[in-house]
Amino acid sequence: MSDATADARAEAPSPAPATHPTGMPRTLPGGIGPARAEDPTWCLVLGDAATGLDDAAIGVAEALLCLADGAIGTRGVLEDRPPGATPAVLAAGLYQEAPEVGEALLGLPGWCALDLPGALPAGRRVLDLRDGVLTRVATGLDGTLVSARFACIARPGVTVMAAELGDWARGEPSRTSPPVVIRSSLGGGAVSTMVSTVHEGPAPRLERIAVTVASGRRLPPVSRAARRLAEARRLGASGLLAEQRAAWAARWATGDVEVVGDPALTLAARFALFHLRSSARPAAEVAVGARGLTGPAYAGHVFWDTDVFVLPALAATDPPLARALLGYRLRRLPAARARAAAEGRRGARFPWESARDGRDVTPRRGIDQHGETVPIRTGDLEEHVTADVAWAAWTFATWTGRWSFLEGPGRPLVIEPARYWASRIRRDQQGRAHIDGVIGPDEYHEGVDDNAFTNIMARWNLRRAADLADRAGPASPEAAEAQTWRELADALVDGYDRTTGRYEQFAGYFGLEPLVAADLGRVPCPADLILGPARLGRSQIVKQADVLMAHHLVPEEVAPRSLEPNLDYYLPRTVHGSSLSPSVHAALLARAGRAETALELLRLAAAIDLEDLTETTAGGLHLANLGGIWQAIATGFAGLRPGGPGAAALVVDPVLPNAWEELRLRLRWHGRVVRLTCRPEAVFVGCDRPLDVVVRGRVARVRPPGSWVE
Amino acid sequence: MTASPAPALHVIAGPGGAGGWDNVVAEVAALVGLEPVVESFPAAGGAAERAQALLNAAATMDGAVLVLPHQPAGPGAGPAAVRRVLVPFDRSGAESDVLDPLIRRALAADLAVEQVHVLTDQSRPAIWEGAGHHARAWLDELRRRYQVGTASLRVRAGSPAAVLCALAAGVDLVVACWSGETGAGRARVLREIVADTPSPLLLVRAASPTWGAGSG
Repeated sequence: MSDATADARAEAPSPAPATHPTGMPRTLPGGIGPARAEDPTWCLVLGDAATGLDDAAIGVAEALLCLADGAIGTRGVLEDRPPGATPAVLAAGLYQEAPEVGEALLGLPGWCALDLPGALPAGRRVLDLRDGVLTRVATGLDGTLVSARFACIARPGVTVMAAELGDWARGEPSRTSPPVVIRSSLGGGAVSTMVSTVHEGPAPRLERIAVTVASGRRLPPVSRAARRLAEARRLGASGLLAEQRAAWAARWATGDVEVVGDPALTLAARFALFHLRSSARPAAEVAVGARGLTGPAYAGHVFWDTDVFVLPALAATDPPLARALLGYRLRRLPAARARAAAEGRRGARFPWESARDGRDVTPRRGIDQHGETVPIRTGDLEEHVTADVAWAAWTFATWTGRWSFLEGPGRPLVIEPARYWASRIRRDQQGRAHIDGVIGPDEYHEGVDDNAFTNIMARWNLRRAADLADRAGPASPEAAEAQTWRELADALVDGYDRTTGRYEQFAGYFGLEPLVAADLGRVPCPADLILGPARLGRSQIVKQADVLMAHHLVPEEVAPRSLEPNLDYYLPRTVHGSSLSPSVHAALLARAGRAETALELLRLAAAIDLEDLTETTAGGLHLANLGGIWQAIATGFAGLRPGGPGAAALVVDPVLPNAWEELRLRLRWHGRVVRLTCRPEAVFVGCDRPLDVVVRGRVARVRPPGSWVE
Repeated sequence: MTASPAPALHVIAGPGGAGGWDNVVAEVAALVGLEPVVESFPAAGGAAERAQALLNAAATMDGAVLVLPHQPAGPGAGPAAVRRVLVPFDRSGAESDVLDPLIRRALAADLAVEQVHVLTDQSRPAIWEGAGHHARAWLDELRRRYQVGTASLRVRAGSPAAVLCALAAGVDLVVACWSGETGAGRARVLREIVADTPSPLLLVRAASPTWGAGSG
């Protein structure tokens, strides 16, 4: 495992030569600190011929190179280009009214612009994931611009830039920009301020420290921004860089992935972890939209992506960040309760798309690829998100060991959705329980009855809520409901056929046109563009994991040994028409022992943003896919899951592709820092406190600093 | 037929010549900033053979080529003036260097320009997450990359030649960027357009091959 901290210590400033072999100076501009040697497993490099990113893909680069601290995100805009239509700065949870999408993230003033002489190419840009420093070297007629910038994760809202370009800055006055106040039409707003300091010398340099404070609830006072700016200035750019490097080193020490033998995949996994952790911060709540703070697409709305795909990686690497995601849901329980009540239900129904206050903001109409208006039904019908929120709360508790969360503040996130399902379920004359008229994860099929995933998740939710009620004892408020919940859970149909081992995705699915993905061309493929929505809805083509999503999330709720028959049946019918799909299948294929096929899908997932496979990365990174990449590696290839008595042991059951020499992971588990080295023949488990593990079925107690478990 | 030695707007007319298209020829010549030269072109063979021969000839010409519809010409046969211009693009990138300045000049001349992209098997995104947010993000990025000034931009699906010929019926001029290569597998769509378009077609050469087998 490369050690980011050790690496930082090892990289002392070097007096000569003045540049690394790549042309990057060995000292960051302004002399704010040493520039580290590029490491292909840590550095995303754009501008080399290998990336293939041309100027037209400038938006893609802006998303890939976004720097965020969980509060404020700054896209990787070029310092010398005029601002485009895409806002460069976004704040978590700060929405404004927006046509067609109801609410959208509010664009904030940029802070990176430099008034440079002459035109410059984009040049060579390097995002160093070790410390979140983005550097640029661009040579034009007036010389070579060298810039570096970062978002201070230890001081959310504080951003720093240093730049040099020949004599460009000489004689420029240092100045503090007056605060800029931006108000949202929904309430709340942001205050931005910055100070630019010019340091004269043989190579004049500019240093800029900017502060943006934002809130979706109320406009922050200007004095807060000024105070934070003063605090940051006291440290200066050099001090802030040192703080930044220490903060990221601490993050990587407790959450990292390294695939020995595959540097490109290692970089992709670290890129995923970097942006996942950049999207949240330790706070009472953080709204993490589908694209995080990396772009305005999907309007910053919060989907199940956050609960099911983003949260697990954070729970296993930075639990306070995961807790902030749950805080967002907890604070929107009143809106979820109100919606359930408005629909004549009990409990809480979470919205398919959520923004500022938790009301459903799913647009009821959208556009298709031609720009024509089409109805959007997910807001009415994609109800599984309600169980997904409960799953997120449960997952947080199982990975962190913080059952007190479920017995305390997080309890309603499991109980209230269960109450919703109990009032939502229909019983037939034979006593079987049904959920009618939904959309499952496979959004090609709308308004279906008894979607297996929805029903299985609802069943899981009812059972876990009953478990919580039982743990609380007979005096608990839910004690009287628990028995009903268990009966309903047992009565819920799930479409399982014992003879084939298959689940029917929904009632009537097996009778649909028996198309498979190969009939449409090479996978992944845009089935809805090829067949059109009407025929697609009458076919067995599946957009993304649906039945298999249940195997991924709640393996204990599906029939034993049902993974393989359902993989065999549904994978050939799946076109991966969602960025959420490849990683989940990679995880499941690994669990089924099919490591090589799993690796193909993991590589596909890794390419989704890095190669812009959806052609929408310019609008922001697909955070759910980034979370899925971590899940594919951690729960798929490494086989991590809670297990043993009381789910207190960490199960490790690696399945490695031939090309991988080792898979190394750092993560947090039940308050411990765990280091795993998975080899085909053995697993090393390192820990800072004694740890119970189950490695390939063998139960062991590992003591610090760790040991091999054969 | 002989190629003109200097860059020019080479006008290739149907059997009746360029008569009746005088206004169009003059306006297109002004648009591209080239002197018009009417080329004589034999109309032998069927439409497909003629289209291939026409492109072969166009490939030898420097400058731009204006292909007038293969129909009897005469006074009043063509539009009185160019008002609406259709500009297909295939997202190859290299075409932008040629088409963008032309579109800007057309817009400056108060022409209504519609850019159109036809989604094909080759040009569809690998992963399409559906109508709504994804389609909006995709269209936003498409517009950011390719929309020029106040030109309108739309996307259609289907056979590129059929789609473009159908749209051409509603405009006064179609502007297409091509590589100038006419060998096997090249200019397939363009051949169909040349054979079937009801509107004048302006061919401009890309700096590098772009209008090829995929969508062009």
